[in-house]
Amino acid sequence: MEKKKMEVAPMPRKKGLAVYFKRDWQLYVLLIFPIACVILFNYMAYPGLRMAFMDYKPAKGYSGSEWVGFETFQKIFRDKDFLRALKNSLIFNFLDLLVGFPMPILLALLLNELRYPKFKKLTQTILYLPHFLSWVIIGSVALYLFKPSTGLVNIWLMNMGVIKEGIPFLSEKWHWAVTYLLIYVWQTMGWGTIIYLAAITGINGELYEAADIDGANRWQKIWSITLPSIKGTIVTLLIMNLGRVMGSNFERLDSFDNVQVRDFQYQLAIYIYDKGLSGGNYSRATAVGLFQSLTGLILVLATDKFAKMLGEDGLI
Amino acid sequence: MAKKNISEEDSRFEGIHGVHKIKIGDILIMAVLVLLCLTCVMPFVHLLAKSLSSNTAVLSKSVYFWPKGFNISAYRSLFLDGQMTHAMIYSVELTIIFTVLGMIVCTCAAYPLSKKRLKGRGVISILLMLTMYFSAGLIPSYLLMKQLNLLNTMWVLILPLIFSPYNMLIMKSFFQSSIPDSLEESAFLDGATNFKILFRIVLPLSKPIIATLSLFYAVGRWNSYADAKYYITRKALQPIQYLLSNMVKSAADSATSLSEAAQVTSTPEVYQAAAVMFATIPIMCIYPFLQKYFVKGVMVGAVKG
Amino acid sequence: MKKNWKKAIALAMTSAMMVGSLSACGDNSTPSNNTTAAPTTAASSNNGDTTPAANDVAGIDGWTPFAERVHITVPVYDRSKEGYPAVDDNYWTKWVQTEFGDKYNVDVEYVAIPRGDVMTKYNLLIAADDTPTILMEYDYPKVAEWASNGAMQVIDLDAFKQVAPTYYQKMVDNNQLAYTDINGQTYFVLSERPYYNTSYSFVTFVRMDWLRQVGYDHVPGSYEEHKDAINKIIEAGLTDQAPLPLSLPTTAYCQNFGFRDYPVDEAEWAMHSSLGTPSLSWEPTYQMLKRQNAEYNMGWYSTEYELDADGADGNTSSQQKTDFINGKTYQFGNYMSANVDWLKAFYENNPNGELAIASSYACVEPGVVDFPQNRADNPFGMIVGFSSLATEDQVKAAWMYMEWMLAGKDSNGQDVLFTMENGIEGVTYTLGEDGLPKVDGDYRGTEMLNHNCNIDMTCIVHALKVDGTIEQSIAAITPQGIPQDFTQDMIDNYYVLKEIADAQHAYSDPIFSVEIKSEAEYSSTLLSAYQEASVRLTKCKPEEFDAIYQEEAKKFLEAGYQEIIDERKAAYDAGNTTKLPWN
Repeated sequence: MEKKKMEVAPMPRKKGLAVYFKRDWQLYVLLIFPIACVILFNYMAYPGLRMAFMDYKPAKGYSGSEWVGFETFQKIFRDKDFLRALKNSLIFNFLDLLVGFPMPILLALLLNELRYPKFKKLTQTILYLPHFLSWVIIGSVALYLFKPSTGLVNIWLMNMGVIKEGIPFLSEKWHWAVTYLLIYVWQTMGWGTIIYLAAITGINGELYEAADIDGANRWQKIWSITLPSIKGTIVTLLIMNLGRVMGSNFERLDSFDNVQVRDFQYQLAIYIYDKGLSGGNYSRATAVGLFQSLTGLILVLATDKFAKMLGEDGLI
Repeated sequence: MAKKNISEEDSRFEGIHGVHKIKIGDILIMAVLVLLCLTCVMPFVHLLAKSLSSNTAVLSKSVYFWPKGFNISAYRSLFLDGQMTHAMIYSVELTIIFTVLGMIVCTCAAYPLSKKRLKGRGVISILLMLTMYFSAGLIPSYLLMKQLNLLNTMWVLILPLIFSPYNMLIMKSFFQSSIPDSLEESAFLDGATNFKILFRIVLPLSKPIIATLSLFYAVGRWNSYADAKYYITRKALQPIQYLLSNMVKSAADSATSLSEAAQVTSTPEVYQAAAVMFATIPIMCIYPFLQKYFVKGVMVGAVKG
Repeated sequence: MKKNWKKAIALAMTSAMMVGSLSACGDNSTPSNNTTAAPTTAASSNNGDTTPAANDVAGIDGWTPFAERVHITVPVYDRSKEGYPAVDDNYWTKWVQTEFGDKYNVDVEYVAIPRGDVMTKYNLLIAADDTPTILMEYDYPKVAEWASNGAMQVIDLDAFKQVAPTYYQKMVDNNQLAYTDINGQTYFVLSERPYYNTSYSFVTFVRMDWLRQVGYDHVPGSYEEHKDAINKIIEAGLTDQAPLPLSLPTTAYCQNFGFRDYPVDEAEWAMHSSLGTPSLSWEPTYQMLKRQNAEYNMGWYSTEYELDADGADGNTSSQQKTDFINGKTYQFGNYMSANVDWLKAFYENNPNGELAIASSYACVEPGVVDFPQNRADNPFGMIVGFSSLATEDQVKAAWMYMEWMLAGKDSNGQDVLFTMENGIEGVTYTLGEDGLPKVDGDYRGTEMLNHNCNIDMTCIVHALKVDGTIEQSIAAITPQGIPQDFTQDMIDNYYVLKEIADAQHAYSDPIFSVEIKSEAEYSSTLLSAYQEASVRLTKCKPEEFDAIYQEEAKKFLEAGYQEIIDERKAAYDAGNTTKLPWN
């Protein structure tokens, strides 16, 4: 990096900052806008995190509420419900990553193999559709399709004689887990291909031509040209996604809620809502959020370091 | 079997960029994609069929993929519903302003940071990226918006979100990987300033990434309503997705009526289905306009360090 | 001996109700009837500032406009129904501003509160120091929480009485003064809930044509008959599905009233009877679940009933509605109105169908349920409190707003309440032959009334629109446009319910005048625990029932219920609860 900088604009070192500033002041001016944005709308909210260490009461505000130190955290970590929610969140986010992360890559590779531009265009467009549906709607359609005896899918399967009894897609927790994960994959895979397709189209065509001359078949080309070329993208996205392993999407969980599956469905977002927001217990909601943020951040930094050790570009 | 051997032989000579000839592999791929596409279209067809059916048919759950008791009265009342049409127009406005401002801020961040020579680049990157993983949480953010006097204004739905680290990363790596340094160097030697280079050289070459990110921004704003739920109380300032979610949710809400013990009718399902279509179609319409940039194969901007 | 005692109470009740309805007929004179307990607050000294005018005339006649513009914010529920104007800005909010606000130099601003997320919205408003001048909710624990957290201010009922004498008198007539205090201080005033102890607007319909096919010429009037009829319906194959709907308990409401001893032990009642937290470990709940389990094992209920928890309206799910419309189930119940879409759809799909109203006595089984007992609703509608941030003038303006809504006249000399609930003659309503207004529900012009005749604005004075006598009120909500006319049946049903109530077999849950902290902590967890347990207990084999019940009840107590009942018991022992009406 250093070397390249010197090549682009050789500058005497001594003059230091003033020279850099003189040359690039316009770039700094541009940066003012985004920096102002994050400071104003993100960093200025951080002092508010102190409510995690208070017994915050909405009617009393920061100044009127009592400091309690780590009491809220202690309470949370003693709370069996929290531990259950934490465990479920970790397991399901990890599974999301395991199942959901490779799908867009696979799909992008498939789309890239398509030869008819019109068909390709149409397929791409259609695959993006689920991204436009909110979880509430997906949840209600899913119920309609997957109910054990009256769901459309089960009726079809029974009519075709594949099964005798309805599959409890939503009402038995293990089946539910699979359904829940697959619907997530279905909803996100199309939209996720955009980035990979972009990366693939950026690959130098000459590489493929050379491979053709060498007599490589389709799979060999995917394996030895396409995938290595988009490795950087994959690693970057993977690191980014790891930061979300502690996250939790309330809407998604809420729309797939039913009593039979609470064992799995009770995750952090539900915990925060049930025991924090709806009861006005803002200290607890904020404390759990802080915990999520910190672990997410540590995970990202660690994987970033790890990726760099392996010789990848990393995130920062 | 024999056929397959021949086709493999063919591919050996022609490669995938060779003569157009359907092979087993192609058929398989197409079949898989068609299946996936069917699953994606199905919910829309189902909702469309519902929205065009009679309420009785929908209530008895006999509508699948074809309307029963065809009528368009749901759409008619939708267009007569002042709140819905107002929210629609408002959401379009909101999305346009958001997308334009978002792209400006995104470029302002991505372009300087794509220059490896920039002093303080590392620090600024971290400063900007940290927000992606470390959030203050809902309540502190809410209280901040209150302090900034942004609650119950349109701007609270715009300003806090216009800087997106994720989009910035994508744009930055596009600049780095597809705008040749040589182009810029020669411009520098001709005495062009950084601004001139950005506006005259870089941006005109970046149409594909601008199209992609605009789509990301627009769709993101259009689909999200959680911020409106917390920051907006006035009905006139609520985006359409929020109205929609409230409608669907209040139809599904059962905990409310017991303490009220009064007749609580819900919005007919036909109308809900029509409202979903109504709120989804406009954002899908922008896609074809941007698609030409996707398919041209010029999109080089991929996330890279 | 016992009978006489019951009779006496029944008599007392009826007379109390008569007094209530008499004074409701527009008795505007200054209240003097102070038979009920006087308010517990000490009279405050700043009386002179609070009364709006120099002269001491109480009520509207004594009001003068404020010297400086006063701004008040009033919450209004936002139900996001199709076809209605924005709840916070429409013809009627503007009408209030011109008729009331401009007259007294007050700005009335409405704040939309999403009905599905009331507490979250209120808490956010409170946190942002945007607390509306008026805070109101139907549920006592919620307002109790606001009061204890300092979001509400202590009020002086004498001052309130001076500004809003009609409103105050209504509270006296409805015996509501017992509910105004929390933690020993006065915070609330309460709106009226007419006919609170009879839920006549909720009607359950059964398939009379099926009953006839299995040899009944009347609706089953005991559990024995009910059981027999249902089993015969299954045997006869009248439906290929489970014949009865069963709801997942989506609120904590346990229908265990019938299974309780009568009279119920007051301490037990205080500990367990609640809308906020289900009472899994209480004997009546055991009895109730035991019966439900037996019924499930006779094939009465769908094997996947717990999935259909998407309660479309009220406490029934859309799947139950669908099954009934499709002629697959024996009964379905919901709140009534002039236009009930599922009844219309039922007759469309089942042209030969005949319906009847279910009997309240279908649950009676000697030894288990001796007679029907019902949950009476709270004897009040909205519980109204005032923001701790509101100035004296703002609170006064809020009180004036409430009194004006209840007893004021608009510029045409019409009662404000009447205009707000019926709109403009010839535009939104017409006067019928009986002299009662008939609201045009399809009118879509700017003057249209919002949800349910502007109920979310008028709820501050009463929970229910009342048109004339009870018979006329029922006639107004009898479903129209269907082959059968249920007007008389619904009136009869009301009198059955009234009889139950008059016999003191309908009573409310206890209300605590201290905050039950453990309840706020555990109630949502316990509700989902109860849902899981009740499904398990309903679906298990009868011989396993007792063992599973023991296990679940133990788990339930450990999950926080024990703490709740201990805290409630302590509150009861300290005298911080309401009493049963017969004690």
